[in-house]
Amino acid sequence: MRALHEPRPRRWRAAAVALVGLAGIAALLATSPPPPARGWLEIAPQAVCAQDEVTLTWHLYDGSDAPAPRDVRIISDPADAFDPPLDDSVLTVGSGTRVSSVRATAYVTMRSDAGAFAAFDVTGVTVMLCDELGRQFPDASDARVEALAVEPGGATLVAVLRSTGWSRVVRLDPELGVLGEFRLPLRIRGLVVEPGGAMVAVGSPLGPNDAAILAVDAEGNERWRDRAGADDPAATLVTVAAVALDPDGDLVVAGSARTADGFVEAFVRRYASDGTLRWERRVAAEGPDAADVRGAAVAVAPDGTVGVSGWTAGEVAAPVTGVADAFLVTFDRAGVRAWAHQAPGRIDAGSLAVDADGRWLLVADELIALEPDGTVAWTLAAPAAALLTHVAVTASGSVVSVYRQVVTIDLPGTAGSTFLDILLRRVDRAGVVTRAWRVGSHRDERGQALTAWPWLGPEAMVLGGVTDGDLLVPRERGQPEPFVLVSLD
Amino acid sequence: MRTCSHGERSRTARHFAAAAGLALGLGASVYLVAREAGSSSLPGGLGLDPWPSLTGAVPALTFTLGFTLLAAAAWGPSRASLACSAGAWLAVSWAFELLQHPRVAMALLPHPAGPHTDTPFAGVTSILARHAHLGTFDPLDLAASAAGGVLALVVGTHALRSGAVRW
Repeated sequence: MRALHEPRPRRWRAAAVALVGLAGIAALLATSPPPPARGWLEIAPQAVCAQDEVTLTWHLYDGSDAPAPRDVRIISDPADAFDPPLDDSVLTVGSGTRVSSVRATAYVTMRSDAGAFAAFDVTGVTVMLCDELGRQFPDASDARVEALAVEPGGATLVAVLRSTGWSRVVRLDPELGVLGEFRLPLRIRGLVVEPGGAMVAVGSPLGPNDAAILAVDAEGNERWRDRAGADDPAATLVTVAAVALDPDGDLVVAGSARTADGFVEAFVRRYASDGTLRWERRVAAEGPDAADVRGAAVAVAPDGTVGVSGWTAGEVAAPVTGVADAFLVTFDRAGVRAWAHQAPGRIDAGSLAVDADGRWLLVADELIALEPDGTVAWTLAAPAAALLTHVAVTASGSVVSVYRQVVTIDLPGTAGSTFLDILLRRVDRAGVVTRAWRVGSHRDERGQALTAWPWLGPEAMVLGGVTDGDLLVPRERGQPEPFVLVSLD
Repeated sequence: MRTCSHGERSRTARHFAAAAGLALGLGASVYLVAREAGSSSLPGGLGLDPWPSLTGAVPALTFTLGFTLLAAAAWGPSRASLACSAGAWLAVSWAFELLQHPRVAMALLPHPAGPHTDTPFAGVTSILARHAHLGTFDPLDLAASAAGGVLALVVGTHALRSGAVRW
């Protein structure tokens, strides 16, 4: 038997010390501030112009009256999107307040006079570019604007809305009101409008015997069709990616086809306006290693020179520098190959435009301007965290380039939320950026098509794409919705 | 050399515990009387604080003092247990204070008012996150904690030398 005053065993002392330790940690945590109240924030109206005012109203989940807030923090990013930026600004408010120039993303916390937080999730408000026209298509959720075209010198814009199983052709007036629409049995990739309103759509055939090129009148009634070489048993998986109008009224299309040896070649075809094939040329990888060459875009210079561009994992004009390069190959009116250019790019690079002087604009890693003889006039690097996707030339001759840019919005206590914005840059003839502006909401936006609209003005451009957010109006079903946006200056 | 009987050690341990109770009681009273209601998870909070700058650091001091003496009493009063206990509680106290530094808090824990709180161990991290993000880092608290540890060593050593302390 243990004596009365014998020291306690070591394990009991260890247990006692552990208990004291736990009590100490508990005491430290007990002095922590209480959990923040959770609530939600309403912003009304949900769609405003960049300089409009909005009203913020808050509620708490426990049903109690909203606390008397001392301040509302609105974090908007990027700060340069709207003027003035509101990053970390503190506004003295009552119950419901009016603030101006809120960006599409707002994260708000409220602090009561007692110091307690009321915490709110990310709340978005649509900030529209009200000096520009825009239209969102709530009846085409989960689709995107795949192609845009305007009638030469005309007041009608044609937008192709494409989803997984259908392609809709929508004719729009200068106010972006719908004049009419129809569906075509084709996965449309590109479209042109001929003088008078007739159209030619190109894309991927829906079935093994379907057309890759469909010529229709303004109401969608078929005029002629062509399979772009898909009848040749040696060519499979024929896709026509782009179409352009020759100044004389001919049509030029570009695309890709898998050949008998298993590799993909780009092709360019010239048609008369009645669908008669004038010539076809192929662009295949040269050098010792065979590789895919995919045609993505086509344009016709004022002198009739045809340019076909796209991306390749092989050598078209120079050895490939990375996973994929962008390329441009030109042909004269008769189809004789003139010159070619290859530059570091990526898969899906190759958007192409040509200005009134015959200068080519090629989308690679950077924007490359090439003189009519193929020499490089200038290059323009992409901004940070941005991918160059499209280029077009306005009626005045300035160049508009479209970028897909990752935007990180720092929210308190998080690693930051990332979104995709569309960045647009206007460039003068010397390659100098004269204007940059951004299209974005509190979710992702992607630009898919770009075209000039000379009828609206010398600098008028139309951007088409898809928004995962509430870019122009709140989405009806919460699904991505296609949109078109007109910029006049 | 003087040796301590177990009876003396037991009596000294009780005195350590009593001193710890007084210190912790003083610290708790600051929260109950001087701090604003709702500023911590403790009940009360009368907001009667004539010297906020002075009372602000008192809990940090009494925490290290009280728990150093309490742990030493639990292990058995000795100079070694006092030193170990003071060192350990000073480290804990400083760690929790440094966790309230905005940069440290931001790097280690999600903000409790942030939109992304569905993290693993959310229950534990949310308590820590409240402490880290909603608490206030104050260098004076670091100094007060150090002072509490030193004070515990002084008081404890004195008690061990005298064998008994008249409180």
